[in-house]
Amino acid sequence: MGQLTNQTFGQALVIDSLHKTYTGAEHHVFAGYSLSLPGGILCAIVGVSGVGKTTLLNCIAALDTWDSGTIALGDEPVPQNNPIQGALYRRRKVGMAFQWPHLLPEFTVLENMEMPLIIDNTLGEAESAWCKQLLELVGLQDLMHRLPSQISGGQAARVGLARALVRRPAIWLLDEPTGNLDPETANEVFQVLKALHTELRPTTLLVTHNSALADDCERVERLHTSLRSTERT
Amino acid sequence: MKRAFENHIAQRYLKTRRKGAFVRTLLRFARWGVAIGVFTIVVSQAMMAGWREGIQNLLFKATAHFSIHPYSDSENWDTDEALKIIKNVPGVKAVNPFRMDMALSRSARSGQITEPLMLKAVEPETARATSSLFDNIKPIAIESLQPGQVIVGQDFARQQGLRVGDDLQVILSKIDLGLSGMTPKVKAFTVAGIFHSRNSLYDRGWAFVHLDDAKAWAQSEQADGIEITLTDIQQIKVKQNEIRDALGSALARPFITMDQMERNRELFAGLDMLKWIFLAVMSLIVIVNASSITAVLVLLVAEKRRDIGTLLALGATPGQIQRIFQAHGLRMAVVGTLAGLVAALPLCAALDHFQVIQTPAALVDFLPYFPFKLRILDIVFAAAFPIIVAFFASRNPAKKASELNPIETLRAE
Repeated sequence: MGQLTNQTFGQALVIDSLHKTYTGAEHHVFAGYSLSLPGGILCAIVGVSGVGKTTLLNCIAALDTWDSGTIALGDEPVPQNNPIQGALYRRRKVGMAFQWPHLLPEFTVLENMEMPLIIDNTLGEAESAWCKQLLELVGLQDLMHRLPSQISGGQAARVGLARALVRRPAIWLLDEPTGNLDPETANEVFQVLKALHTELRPTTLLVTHNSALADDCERVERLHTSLRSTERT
Repeated sequence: MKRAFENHIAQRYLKTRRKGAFVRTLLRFARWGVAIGVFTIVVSQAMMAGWREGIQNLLFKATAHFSIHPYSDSENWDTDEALKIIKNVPGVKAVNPFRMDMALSRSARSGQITEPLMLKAVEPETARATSSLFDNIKPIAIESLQPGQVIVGQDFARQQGLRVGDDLQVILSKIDLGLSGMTPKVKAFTVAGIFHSRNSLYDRGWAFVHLDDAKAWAQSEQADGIEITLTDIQQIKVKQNEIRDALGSALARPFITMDQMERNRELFAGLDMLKWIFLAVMSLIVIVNASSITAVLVLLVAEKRRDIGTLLALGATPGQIQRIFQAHGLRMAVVGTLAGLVAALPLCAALDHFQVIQTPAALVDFLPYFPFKLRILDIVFAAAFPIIVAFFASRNPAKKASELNPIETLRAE
């Protein structure tokens, strides 16, 4: 794996007294939830299904809203109830990867990598080279001109991870990126993930049900429904 | 390398063959629908413009471009002085003094009074330059017309059984006061020639006599008016005003002008109305067809929900998502419009140039073939209209796409 840059992207994440209730729900998803992470850390978020792991990532990504409390990334509070500000904030600070890679089927692997830059209208020679470098980093440089339908699930997952880093985000939000893969491939993708994190050091939140992978992270944040609070290890 | 994000995505969505079968079929229908609408607008408008221009040319060739008359007291003006002034106006090609009278004809052969006849008295030396009616006279040329002679139309001669050399009596709309009281003036002429225009209006109802004859029965030294032909037909309105002003100030009296468009106002109003009706009907076809763009986009948005969610998660703004689908709708309309234009423009040009469609026998003398005249304004309308309709047709589904909740679309997987 080649040396890409000495620059690290990660910024500190501070969540303070987060309250969130789904309309019509009988219980709070978050009741005064707080979390503080230093910049550049790799943190696993674990917990049973429905506990709010994905919701937490969506709130940090300004895709979802909350009732009270604050979320701040670096010095910047995360906007809510403003789709345009939310989109601009994601462009500046957030890289997201999902359980399904959500690659756009009409575009090649390289074009999918370049998509965040195309959205910003900032794609140039240097940026395209950076995308290729990232593909090289995840070992897919030979597949860059293939369509998503022409690569495997594991390869697509790696593209999804790399695409989330194209903008050099302050925070890397990974929602079960290995959840749809067989254990061997999941482990392979996780190693790629760790390598990327080591190389670029974005603040990383990894939602996973795989305790082995979680244990391999620098920190584990465990969410509990009944307690509406957290344990930290 | 930089390319607008919205166009980039829209173009790929349009080109890709990965769309669902319904979307592909509807997309094809929408494109074809727009193309057919544009095609019909261009062809119908070219046909209407061709007919209008053909009729207009026919009328303006048959008579001078316009005529000028004293506003009142038409027997008391100086025709010769007016002719001199008009000839000096730049752009005037030919002038001819004339008198017009309504008459009833009575053939010496049958003795029956027939249909009304428009008796036009012209100066034979200058008449030819102001009307194409004088190009087809047999056996004499208009310049040879003598007082006491008449030239009648082919249809009229056939109807009356007239031949060259026959006598023709006409009952004028002038009254003579004689010993037996008031009687209409009756004049006898010798048929000196028979003309054939391509217009039954003239061939059946017009006859030409020498201006001196008309002056004699009117007991006047003046013409009723002066016919004027210009070098440029487009200048009719301008020159009408210019000549009217010039004569008005020189002869110190008001004048009025009249051209074929005014004389045939009803005909041209009818043609214009027909053109608008055609345009309205064809535009409705375009609206209906372009509206299928809405259906395509609704299906496409439903199919691309996950992609929309992904793009929003990657930082696309709702406005960008809306513009993707609007651009997609507009591209469909543009492709259809171009196809329609590519089919219609060469076809109209070829139909006109090679005179492919012949008119029915009853019209063949009037217009021998269907003329197709392409006018820039008609083409611009045909091109712009579907695109405007597509803009509004794609607005609603595009807006709905921009309002999708990314969390729900991503969770749907």
